[in-house]
Amino acid sequence: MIDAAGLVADFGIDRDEGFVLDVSLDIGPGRTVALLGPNGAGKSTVVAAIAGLIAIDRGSIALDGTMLDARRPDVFVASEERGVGVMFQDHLLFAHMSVADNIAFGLRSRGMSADEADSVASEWCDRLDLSGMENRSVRDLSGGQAQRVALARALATNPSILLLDEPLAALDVTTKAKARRVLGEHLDAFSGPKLLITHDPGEAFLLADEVHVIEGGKITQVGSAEEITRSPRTEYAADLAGTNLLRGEVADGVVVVGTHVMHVADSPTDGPTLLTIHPRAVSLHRQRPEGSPRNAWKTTVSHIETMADRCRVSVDAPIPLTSEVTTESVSALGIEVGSSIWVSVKATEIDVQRS
Amino acid sequence: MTDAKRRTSVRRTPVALFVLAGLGVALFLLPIVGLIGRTPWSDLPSLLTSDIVVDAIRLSLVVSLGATAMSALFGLPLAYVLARAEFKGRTLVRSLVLLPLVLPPVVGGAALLFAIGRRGVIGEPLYSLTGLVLPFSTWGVLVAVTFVSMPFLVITVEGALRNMDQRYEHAASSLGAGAWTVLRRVTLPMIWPSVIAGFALTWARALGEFGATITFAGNLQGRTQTLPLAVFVALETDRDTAIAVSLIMVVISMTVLVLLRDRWWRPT
Repeated sequence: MIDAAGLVADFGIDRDEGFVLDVSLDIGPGRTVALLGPNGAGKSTVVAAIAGLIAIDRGSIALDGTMLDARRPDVFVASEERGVGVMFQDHLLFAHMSVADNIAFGLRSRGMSADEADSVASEWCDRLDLSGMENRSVRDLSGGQAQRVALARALATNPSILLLDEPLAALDVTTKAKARRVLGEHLDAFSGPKLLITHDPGEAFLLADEVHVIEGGKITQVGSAEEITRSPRTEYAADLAGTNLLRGEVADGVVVVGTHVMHVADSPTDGPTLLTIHPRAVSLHRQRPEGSPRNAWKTTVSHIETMADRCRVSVDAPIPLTSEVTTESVSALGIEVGSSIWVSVKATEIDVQRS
Repeated sequence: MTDAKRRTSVRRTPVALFVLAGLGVALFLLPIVGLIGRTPWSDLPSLLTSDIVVDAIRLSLVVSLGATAMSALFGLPLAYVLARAEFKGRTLVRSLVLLPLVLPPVVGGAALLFAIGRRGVIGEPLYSLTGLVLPFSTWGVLVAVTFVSMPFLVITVEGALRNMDQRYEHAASSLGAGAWTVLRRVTLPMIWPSVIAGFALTWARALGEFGATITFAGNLQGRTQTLPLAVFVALETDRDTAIAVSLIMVVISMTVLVLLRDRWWRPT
């Protein structure tokens, strides 16, 4: 027996195609751990193993002192007995049921009476801004509403652990910010361990207490968002760290970063924000770019790093940014450290997250 | 289709294909036209209420619905097992289930006779133990018709189960639903359109069954003479009755196919 509260998991899974997964996760009550990795890294397999949808080949998974899956001694608790709350990728709402029936499904499956389950579902609708939608078919919901139904369905059974598999990936940019805020609030209110699966560094950094980077079935780095950004250990982590993360302050629909004003596509609410800009979204020009993009300024190249056929060009004040361009365009633009350059970023390429 | 769209699609399809396709349609259409042309419309009411026809309609309804029910009882579990359970020889079992689709029904009927006929491998001990004789009885018709029609339900439902996104079942389990609850509240409702399509095809095939029935159960009015058998007999003796009964079967078949058209072409 493992007496520790929360999730204590150290296991391996061998899949047919020769893919080997080996992870170790320790999530205390109330803590949120993000599993951050590229597609095919094995993130969803980790969720499936903890949820009891696949069996592990080595090691063990224990939750609040109860062994859920182990090889020696041989233990396997069926998924329906584990008390896990899962928010699946693409939400997987039952399309033939109403909003309320989706939320009440877990309660009904555990033997609660229809009336009681309905009233609990109705409470969850109120809590998640879905009041009045109880009888609506889930087919008619917007992305944000569907995401909240999925969250309510996972939470309604009062699970011992919350597993979130890309909970925001199915949403478009405009609803993502709000959905992330709602998710953050409910994660804070949930007292059990929480595992967030994501490929979005901004999401991981904003919602999790600790980030585990997973690549090719192995956890390659564990640390706080700041630690991983400061000293990335793998190329993938470096790429994540190379993503431009800027802290700013929203005022009057624009974001002030340091002394510079950045224009963004949606109009965020006032307050502190985190801007995410992919290095490939930062364009470099010799002269003031045509069509006068709103985010364009003149600056100086501070650093150039060549990787195969691409270059990462860093610029300094007023805003430190890294741009990723082809080696050809670096030579075409005649860029070297110290040269003057125009930088532009499309407003639509800036991801704004309230922090 | 908008007018512009129709014009583009016509322009892009070679004329030769239209001609060949038209000949193909003619092959299906001409027999129906011939049947309708020869139908004695004024005598139709009396022809359709004759003893032979009424008995055959009653027996056909009982047997086709009975075979559909038997297919539901055994075919749905079979489809589920084939789609979901991993076991040795699954390919072999699937081929066996599909065999009646390609086997000439007469051969199927003969095989049934050797197996569960009165002198059959299983039929003989069955008779001495229970006194039950399947051949030349309505129960025999039911067995023969189920043998021929059940594969339609199995392939339709198995296909739907394979195409279905199993992650929905996983979601249900994680929410605390046991295997039966998952099946009843998630799996079945999700593949329901295909189940209905499978039932309709099974029923239609059961209604039209001829070869296995006549071989295994004979042709006794009121006991084993279903509509297709009545047509076969009437062709020799009473052509008008044969035409009238054929017409009913065309109408029924067309109705089922038209009702099904969306489901069959777009499996869920």
